[in-house]
Parts: sequence; C-alpha cells; structure tokens
Amino acid sequence: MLRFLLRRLAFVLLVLFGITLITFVLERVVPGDPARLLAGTRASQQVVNQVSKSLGLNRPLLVQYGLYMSDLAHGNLGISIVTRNPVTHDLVQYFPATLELIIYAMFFGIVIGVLIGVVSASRGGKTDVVGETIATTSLSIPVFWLAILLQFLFYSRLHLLPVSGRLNPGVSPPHTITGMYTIDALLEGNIPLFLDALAHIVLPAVSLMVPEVGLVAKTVRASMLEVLGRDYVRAAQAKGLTRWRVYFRHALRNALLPAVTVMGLEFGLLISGTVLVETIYSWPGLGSYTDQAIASSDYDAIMGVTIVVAVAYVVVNMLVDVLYAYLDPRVRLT
Amino acid sequence: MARVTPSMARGTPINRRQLLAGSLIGAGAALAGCSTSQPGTTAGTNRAAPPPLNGRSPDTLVVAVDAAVEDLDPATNLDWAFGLAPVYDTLVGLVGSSAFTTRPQLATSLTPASKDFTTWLCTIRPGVRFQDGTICDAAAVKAAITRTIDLPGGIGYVWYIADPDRQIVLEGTDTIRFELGTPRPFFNQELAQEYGFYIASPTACAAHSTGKNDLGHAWLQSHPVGTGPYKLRSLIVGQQATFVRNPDYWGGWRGRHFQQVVALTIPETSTRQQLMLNGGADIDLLTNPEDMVQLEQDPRFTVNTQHTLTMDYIALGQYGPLADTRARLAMNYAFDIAGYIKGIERNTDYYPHGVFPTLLITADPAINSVPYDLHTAKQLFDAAGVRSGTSLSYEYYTGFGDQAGAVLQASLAQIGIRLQLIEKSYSGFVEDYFSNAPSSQRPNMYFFSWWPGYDNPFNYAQPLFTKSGWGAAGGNAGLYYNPEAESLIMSMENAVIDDELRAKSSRVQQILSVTDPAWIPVAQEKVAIAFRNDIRGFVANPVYEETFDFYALSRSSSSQLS
Repeated sequence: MLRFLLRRLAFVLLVLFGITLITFVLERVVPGDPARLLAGTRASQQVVNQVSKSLGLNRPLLVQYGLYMSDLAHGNLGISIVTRNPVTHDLVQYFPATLELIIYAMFFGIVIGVLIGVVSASRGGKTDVVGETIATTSLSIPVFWLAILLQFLFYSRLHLLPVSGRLNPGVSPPHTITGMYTIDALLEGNIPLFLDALAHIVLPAVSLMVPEVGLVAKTVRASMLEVLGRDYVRAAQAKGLTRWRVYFRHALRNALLPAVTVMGLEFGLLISGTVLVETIYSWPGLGSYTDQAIASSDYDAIMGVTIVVAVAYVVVNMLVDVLYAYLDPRVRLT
Repeated sequence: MARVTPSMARGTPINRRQLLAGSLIGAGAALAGCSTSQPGTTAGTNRAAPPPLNGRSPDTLVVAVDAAVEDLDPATNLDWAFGLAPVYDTLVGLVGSSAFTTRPQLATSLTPASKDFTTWLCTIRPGVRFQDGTICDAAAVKAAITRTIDLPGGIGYVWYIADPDRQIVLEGTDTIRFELGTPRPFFNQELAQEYGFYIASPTACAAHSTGKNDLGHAWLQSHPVGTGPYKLRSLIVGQQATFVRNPDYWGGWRGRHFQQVVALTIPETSTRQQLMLNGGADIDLLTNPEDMVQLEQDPRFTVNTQHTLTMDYIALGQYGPLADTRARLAMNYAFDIAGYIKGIERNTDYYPHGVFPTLLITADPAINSVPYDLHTAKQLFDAAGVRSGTSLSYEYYTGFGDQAGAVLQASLAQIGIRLQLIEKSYSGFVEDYFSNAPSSQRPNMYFFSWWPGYDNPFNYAQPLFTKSGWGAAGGNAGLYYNPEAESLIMSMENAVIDDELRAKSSRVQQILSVTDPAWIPVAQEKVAIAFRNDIRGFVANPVYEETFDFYALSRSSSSQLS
C-alpha cells in the first residue's frame, strides 16, 4: 500500500507539472491584459506598465513560469486580480462550498442510484421499465432547468425551502473548520445554524444529484444484470440464502466495480462543473470563482483552480483504486 | 513606486463590474413611459401592500444585487461603490438627484480660495470619528488622501495631486488648503465622486499595513473603517455583506432608519425575481426587461427608473473604409436606433440625442441623432468609395454589444456591406480597446459604454473624442480626430458653465453627432430598481448609479401605504 501511495504521489507531481505548464502557456497566449484590468480601464499606460511589472508580466514567459513554480513549491498561489486576495485564501473560501455541495449530491445520488439499479436488475419486468425510465429521465433533464423548477416549486409555491445562498440573510457562518457550513455548524454544536445551512443546501444538491442518480442506476443495473447470471450467484441462491442477501452481499459488491470508476470520474467532473447550479442558487463555489477568473484573465486564480481540480482528480482516482482493491481482493495495488 | 502624475483622461469608462454583468446591464433597465416615481409614492393609482416579510425583521433592509460586494478599500475599488457607500463618506456629496450641486459631508465647506481655482479651502466637520474610534480631523483626512494616492496599483490618480505632502496643506486641526497647481473649477464636483474619494481611517490602515506596497490594503478590503452611518458586520465573499448601524455616526439617528442592511449577491435574475415576489428582498437591483415588466405591473412594488449619464455607442474607427466622414455618417444612417430600442431593448433605454447624454449639463436638446435611412446610407457609402462587398469588423465582448452588432449587421447586409462580428472575452476586449495598436490592427468599430466622472462636457468628451484620448491614454479607440472639435473640447477644460461653454458644447455635439460623426449613439441607459411599496426615501442620482444612501431609507408601516 505504501509503495502504491508513493508511486501515485510521484504521478501527481508529474501530472501537476504537465497541467501547470500547459495552462500557464495557454492562459498567457489567449488575449487579455490583467494589468490593465487591475489598474483600471482609465489608468495611464505608465500605471499599467507599473502594475504589469509588479505582476511580473514584463518578464519572459519561461522566467514567469519558473517564478510561479518556485512560489507554488512554497505554497504561494499568487494574488487574484479580481478579489485582490491571495488565491489560496480564495480557494479556502470557495472550494469547500463546492465540495460540500458535491458530497451531498454524490452521496444521495449513489445511494438512490444503487437502490434503483439493484431493484431494476433483480426484479425485471415492469419494475425494470420504471427503473430505466427514472434513470433515463434523470439523465435527460437539463440541470439548469431542474434547478429553476425546484426553486419555483419549493420556494415560490410551497414556501418550504430557501431560494438561494448558503445561509439566511444576516446570519453569520460558523467558525471555519472545514469550510462546509453544515459540518462546521455540527462541530460547533450549533443546531439552528446547522438546520439553516442544511435547508439551503437541499435544492442545489438535489439539482446536482438527479443526473447522478440516473448515471449510477444505469451503470449498476447493467453490472448487476451481468453478475446475476454468474455461477456463484446461482450457487448462493441454491444454498437457500435470501434474495436480498444474495443481491446486496454477493452480487452488488462485484457489480459495483464499474460503477465505482464512473462515480470517481463524476466526482472529478463535478468539482469543475457546478457553475450553472452555483449561479442559479447564488452558491459561492469554485464554479463561480472560475467563471469570474476566466472572464478577467485572472492568471493566478485560473492556475490555482486548475491545480486544485487536477489534484482532486488524482486523489479521487487514487481512492477509487483503493476501493477497487477492497471490493475485489484479486485486485492488487501496484 | 513613484507617484503617478495626473496626465490622462478624466472621464470614467466602463468599470469591470458593469462589463462583467454584460447582458444583464445592457438589458437591465426599465419600461417605456415608466414614471420616475420614488418608492412609496404612487406609480399608478393601484398600490397594494407588499408581500409579507415571512418572519424577516422589518428593521433589516435586504437588497438583492447581481454582483459580489468585495474590495472595500476605497483606494482600489474602481468596480462598484455599493459596499463603500454605507461605510465611508466623501468630503462632499451630491444633492438629491443633481449631478452638479454639492452638499457638505465630511467637509462642512469646500470653496475656491483663489480666482483661478488653483487653490481650494476645505473645512472638516468637527468631532467626527472613524468607526475605530480615532478622530477624523484635517490631519487624518490628509493622511487618508495621501494613502490613496501613494498606494501602488490603486486609483489615487483620480485626485490629480502629484505631491500630496506639498499640495495638501494643513491649516489648523480642521482646515485643509489644496494647492492644485492647475485651475480646477469643478474640484468640488470631482470630490463628490464615488471612486477614489472615500475617506478611510489612516490609523487602521497603518496598523494593518504590511509594507509600502500594501498600506493596509489587504486588510481593509474586508475590514472597512470609515465615518459612514453603517459598519460592516460580516462579509461572506460572493454571498452576502451585512452592515449594521454605526451608533456614533456624526449624522445621528433621529427619525426612521434601518438597523441592519444585508446585500445578497444573486447573479441569476430569475432567482432575484422570486426573492422579491415572495418577500425575501426589499430592493432588487438590475433585472432584465421581462422581470421589470412583471414587477411594474405588480401593485405591490414600485419601479424607479433612473435616467443616467451613461451612453452606449458603436465606436467607429476613423481609419480604413471609415476614414471618410461620409462613410461614418453612412454608418449612422444604417443603424436603426429606434428599432433597436423598441425591438431589442423593449424601450428599457432612452433614445439618444446625439453623442452627449441629455442629462449632461451642457447637452443641446435640439441636436438629434441621425435617422435611420438605408437609401441615404448607401448613397453616402458610394460617395465615400465604400463599395458593395466591402467587409467591416465589429468587436464586442460576450453579452455586451452582440445584439446591437446583429442589428447593424442585418441593416448593412441590405446595402451590400458585410459586417463581421468579433466576440472577445471581457479581458481580451479591454486589452484591444485600450491598446496602442496601430489602426491596421484594430477592428473597424467597437461596442462601448461611457459615463463621466462628473457632469461636465470636458470630462465627458476629452477621453473619447480627442487625440489625448487615443489608445491607452483614454477611450478614443477609434482614433477620432476633428481639428475644430479638438480645439473646442480642449478649450472647455476648467471652463465655468456659462453661455459661452454651452455654445461650444453644442457645436462639439453637432460635429460629433452629424457633421463629422465620431460614433453611433445607440442608447441612453436607464437604471431600474424595484422596491417593495413600504420602502421610503430613495432619491436617484445619475452619478451614483446602483449605489444607495441606506441612511436615507426606511420602512413605512402598512397604514402609511395609502
């Protein structure tokens, strides 16, 4: 296991190097002048040049990259020209918001998706048709449309849930431990704050969860159908085990392998793909931050987000591999 | 870093927030024929009680805004003064809805001390304290201004004071003499602007400074310390900013005022709309035309439309096929302004009267924009040698100018001129627009928006239509030059508002709009703000766009609605 982790760490560093190099060059090749944006559109060229110099933009590209990587090695991701904060500071603010959303969406998406997939594959017939319909519909619904519909239904019509944001107006967030309000509120023992944060996360999480339900359900169903035809499953049934014990203890564990891969990829995709939901629900997460950074040619912020997403992808895939080994003892971590 | 000498354009071009809002800004205004009624007054005859607050405190004002409240350092915030206005004061402010008349604020008086307006005397209001408890006297004001000017990468250049040590002279504890070096007859109007002129506690800045490149900036962005009526209680980046009463505010708290103001950042218009309709917000800033129609027709709300000094243009390049005056005049004839405002903007902007906004103090209402006439346009193009089949380029940034470009493209296609629409990112557009690239590397036109720093024809026109505004020096991306207009505009610098100035301004307006057209005026922007019917006290000011005097706002009881 240790050797596996060390090899993966080396791989992470290699991936980071490649991604930072490509992103660094691309963002500087694309038209845009962050010095002008930072100085203001009515600043004189002298002021713009001074700002450009302070940002190091007047140096050769290779030198700029070297300096950036040197700063990166010391944990310095630079300064955002949009927020004027250290990028690290911004990421600490924005990333947990997205992570919290994804965790809830993925958790419930997986639970519900697995249930639907298993029931669909095991029951067959009309149940399978219903399950497939739910899965296909879930996958087909545009996320932004669903988000607005949920707002309209649960806020405007039923007055059950808040329309946007992470907390009610004027409510102060909990002390930052993880940056995820529901968890931090619980850790603080502040139940009213926890409930407020929970109420606010329901609709955006459901909006993200629905497509995951469909994806997981379809993947699990397909895997289950394949596994249910295996000899060991028939043997387990012949031994007189209950149907649900056969499905969940014997079949599902093997059927989950392809689903775990898909879930891992989905998790990584969601980290950078929540901008629509975040915009509709005014959820101040990584998606919104990235969108703003790209529009403003905020080089350091773009690089920071890229690094975070790359690291997240690699970490998630590493966890997927570990989970693989747990689910299937025949798989060796190398 | 050396102090930057004032050397450039004095107007205020598009700021980042407005550009980032893009199509929301372009579309986000109000209705044709909508009254400029203030909240709490009857827009029509049917005024109903607003939606229930649903447990919300009536002492809290909730404002739904489309952009994040951030960077609360007045020395750097060039984007949006919304979060600065509650916390800080300027030395003087503008009276009511006037873009010209000033009133005392931190300064009880600000008067010229020399006939040539090179020296001004400012008396600081006695007994005022910053929110950190430190005294706001002449020395503190000088220190605050000096910090603004000295901060690297800041917007201190707006003061046009190269040497604050020498030019800002203390005369006693409450008096400052400004030695400006050049005549500035509108110095009081300049100091009433929002960007770069708020006074922050120099003590707080110094205490949290990490060096001469910071001067407390990193800290002040999220810990503003001013003399204003409200203090920042909490700032959740990208989500909400909460302001609470400053109990020691120099203006006192007699009368009705909100205890707390919460600004909710909600980029999506439909979400803000739902919040308003269901009582979750008291004020909604900038919604699209469809949302505004709904709120205007809803008797529970009042929509205030604010005529502004902001103009939208298609900035024509005085080079290539459009070098000839007749070609640029043809372009004006080829753009259907009325059709654009009615069909695209749904009458949510005003029809322009030439290149100057009608609210500009010297604007001539008799000068009109060139009417839409494709036949005349074709004749003029032919006379200028711009034949059918000529290709022109139009640059804009995402969400801002695409529709105007499409309208122009369709019109030009009818007379055989091909218009290529070039979409850029905001950053790419800014780089192009304010570059020193030669004309051969520029598109033939850009979509652009502009408003002045203060209500003055020189302040408006110099950066856009003179040689000193070419390229990175200003907003004259079309490299426009007309000798007569140039001479007249430059002679208006620091001129007092009198009949002579009005005559000059009128002539300039005529040249730029008709005789030797610089640009195509597309629309005069309105800003529309929706209020619940129980919100009182708002007075729109064309310079203070999309910012509020929260101190002046209050909530009436239901019995006061009729």
